[in-house]
This record gives sequence, structure tokens and C-alpha cells, in this order.
Amino acid sequence: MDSKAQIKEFILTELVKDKEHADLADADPLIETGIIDSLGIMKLIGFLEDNLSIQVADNELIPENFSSLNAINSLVSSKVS
Amino acid sequence: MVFLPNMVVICVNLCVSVVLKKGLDMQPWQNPELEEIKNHFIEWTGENIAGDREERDREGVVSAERWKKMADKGALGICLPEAYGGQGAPVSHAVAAYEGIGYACHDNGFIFALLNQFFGVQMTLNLIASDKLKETYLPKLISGERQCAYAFTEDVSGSDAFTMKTTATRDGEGFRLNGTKCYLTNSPHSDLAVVFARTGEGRSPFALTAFLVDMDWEGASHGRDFEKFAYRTVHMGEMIFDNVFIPADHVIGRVGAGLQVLTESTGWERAIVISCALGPMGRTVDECVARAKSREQYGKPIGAYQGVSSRIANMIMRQQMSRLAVYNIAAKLENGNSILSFLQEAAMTKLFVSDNYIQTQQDAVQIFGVRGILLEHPYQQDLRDSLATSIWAGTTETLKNTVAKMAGLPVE
Repeated sequence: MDSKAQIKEFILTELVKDKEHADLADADPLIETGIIDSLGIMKLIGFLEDNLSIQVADNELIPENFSSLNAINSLVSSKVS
Repeated sequence: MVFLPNMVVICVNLCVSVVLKKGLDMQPWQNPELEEIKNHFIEWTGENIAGDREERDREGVVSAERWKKMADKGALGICLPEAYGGQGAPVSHAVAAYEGIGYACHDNGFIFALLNQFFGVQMTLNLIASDKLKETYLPKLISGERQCAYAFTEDVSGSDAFTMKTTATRDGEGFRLNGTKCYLTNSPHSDLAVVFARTGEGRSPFALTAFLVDMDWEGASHGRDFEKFAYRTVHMGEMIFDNVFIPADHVIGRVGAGLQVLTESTGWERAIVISCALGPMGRTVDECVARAKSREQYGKPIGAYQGVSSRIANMIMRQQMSRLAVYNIAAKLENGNSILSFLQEAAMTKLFVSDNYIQTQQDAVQIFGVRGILLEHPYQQDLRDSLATSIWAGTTETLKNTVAKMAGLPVE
């Protein structure tokens, strides 16, 4: 499973309480729509660091890096490459 | 008329009682071990801590000696790891201990201060802080050698965390902290503080960071004290931070995780610190029952009048349901579940128990008549102290919003 799929699965199974977002699109805004709240972001970061073997630097903790599935995957890809 | 043979009746009764007892034994709040802990602390507190209620409340006396006694008894480390000086016991043991302490001791402010540090500060550090911070500070907090305030609130910032003005800006290998925190429980006697500050802009989920600050550091000082009508035996004050240098290793969690720290700690406060109400409610119920039996008017005990007996029945119900709520959430936390999974339930627990506590103390004032409003009797103090529970860790109004929002309602 590629990193984007792993991230999507984590979001849908661990963070999203609302079943309406089961068909989450890659570009859907996550934070501003409340799909993921501040706690969810922290849990997601923990998942990225533990399961995708990356380190999120303090200056990378900005909303833009977590605004959508695409944004999160871009952050991960930039670190893996 | 049909008569059941006596043996059948006896067997049915036995079966019913076995089933009921088995059901009761399975409930966390009916655990005999917890009753034993509670009763032990009732006895110990009565012998070692209780006393001088009226004077301490009137003068607002804070006792460092009592704090140390509680720490030596282990009251600040019941469910924290043995590696830091705790006992590693289940959370419900702490609830039972503090229910006993609260039953035997009218010093509600003192008990709240202990629980506030235990679960608002220490438990949060245990769950989120680095091993270095835990090893350095938790043993000293658990032993009573040091005390730590929870420095979140500001004059302009309460329930809305993003209105805070205290800032922490990077400076070499650390941060510079500037701002003033106020309305802080026990801060006048605290030489450490968990301080929340802005490290980012706006309402970003990463805009806040929590730090552990030593009040001996240059630029850190205590400001004014605030006189209160409730919890008079725990002082409330200001902490002022004027360009205080904080080493980077004193960040709690990580930079930008302030909201996580805040949410974790307030979750524990709402779920467990509210156990400070259980003992006083139990004591109040017992005293009112005794009063209703012994006080006679017009030739019979006042408990014979439905106006009194109905009131007491409601008090009993509220007390038992409050115990149920707190022990239930404590049991869930013992199963390894994070408080973050029960935020709505934690909010409801605090709301429910606080409302019950306040109503119970109001009822007691009514039952005791004029004695209910005399300073030489504890009922007015218990009522005043109960009112504080509708404010700390989120006002009643804020928590109702929280519960409604988590249910998906479009509350603004």
C-alpha cells in the first residue's frame, strides 16, 4: 500500500468520526472543514512518524502541510525522497 | 388465593439476591477494595488532616504542613509510575482515596488543589512530557518537595485558548517567554508552572506550546493574589513572565502541541478532578439524614415531612449517580484507553457531578435551617465551595457547548 493510501486509511479509521466522509477525496480540505480537528492532527503526526519513518520538524507544523490528503502526502514524499 | 410453598419462595428470594449481588459486584463503584480504600482514607484523614475548619476558611489559611502530610501518605502519586515515586495503582484507587479524604475533611479547597496538581499537571506530564522532564520533576512533585501550577488562563483568555497573549519566541537553544497568567490555583505556593504560550499565529491548531517553567528562573515572578469566597484555603494568583529564557528541553510534548496538552489535561480534570465532590456529597447526605431523624418539630422528626424526605431522597440519588459516573469513567481509563477517546463523556461527567454537588449543598442549607447560613457551621462553606465546580476546567456553559458540538450540533 503506498503512503497516500496508508494515510487515507488512517484518517478514515482513526480520525474521522463522521461516516459522511467515507469517500474522502485527495483534495478535500481537512482542517478548515473540521474533518480533522487539532487533536486529530497530533494523532496523524504520530502515525506519520511511527509508521512512515519520517520526522516532522517544528517549522513544518503549519496548516498548509495538513490541509488535504494531497498536502500531507507531499510532505511525506518530500522527506522520503 | 394461591399459596406458594415456603421453600419455593425462599429459593426464589435467594436466586434474586444472588443475581442482584452478582450484578452489583461487577460494577466498579461497588468494588469492596475501593470501599476499603475510601474507608481507610476517611479514618486517616480524620486523624491527620481534618480540623480547624472555621478558622482556616475565615482566614484563608494554606497549610504547607498538610500538603506534605498528604504527599508523604502517597496521595499525589497513587496512579503514577513507581519509577517516579508513585504507587502505580489504578485510577479508581485515586478516586476512592480522594472520596475518603473529601468525606472526612471540610477543606474542599485544599483537596481541590491536590487533585488539580495530581491530574491537571502530573498526569499530563506523565503522558506527554519527555523522559528527562518526567525524571527531573515528577518525583519532586509526588513527594511534595515542589508544587506546580497550571498556568493557562489570562485576564483576556479563558475558555477560548486562542485569545491568549503570552508568547514564546525562539532564542538560540530555547525560547523567551513573555506574558502574565492569572486566576491560577495554588500559584502563590508553586515554584513550578506548566505555562501555555503562543508560538504561532492566529487560530492554527499548532499555534500554542506548553512549557515547564521553573519560577526561580530570571524574569519569572509571582504577582497579586486574588481573594475568593469559595475554596478559601487554596490561594489563587498571578504568574508574570518577563523575558524568561526556557531551555528547549522544557517544551512539553513538542512545539505546536499546546492544544494537545491542553485537551489531555482538561480531559483528566473534568473526568477525575471532579471526584473532589464525591466525599463532600456523601458526608452531606449522611449529616442530613441524621439531622432529619433527630430534629423534631411538632412532635415528630422533620424527616417525617415529605418536604424534607423528598429532598433527601433526591440528594441520595444525586450522590449515588455521581459516584457511578466518576467511577465508570475511571474504569474506562484503567483499561488503557486514552482520555482523548472520552472527551464528551469527561465533559458530561464534570457537568453532571458539579450540578448535583451544588444542588446537594443547597438542599443541606435548607434542611439545617438557620444553621445552614451560620459561619460556625460548615454547610454554608460547603455550598460556597461547590459553586467553584461550575467554573474550573470549563464553565458549565462551555461544557454544554462541548457536549452539543461533539454530538454534531452546529453550536457556535
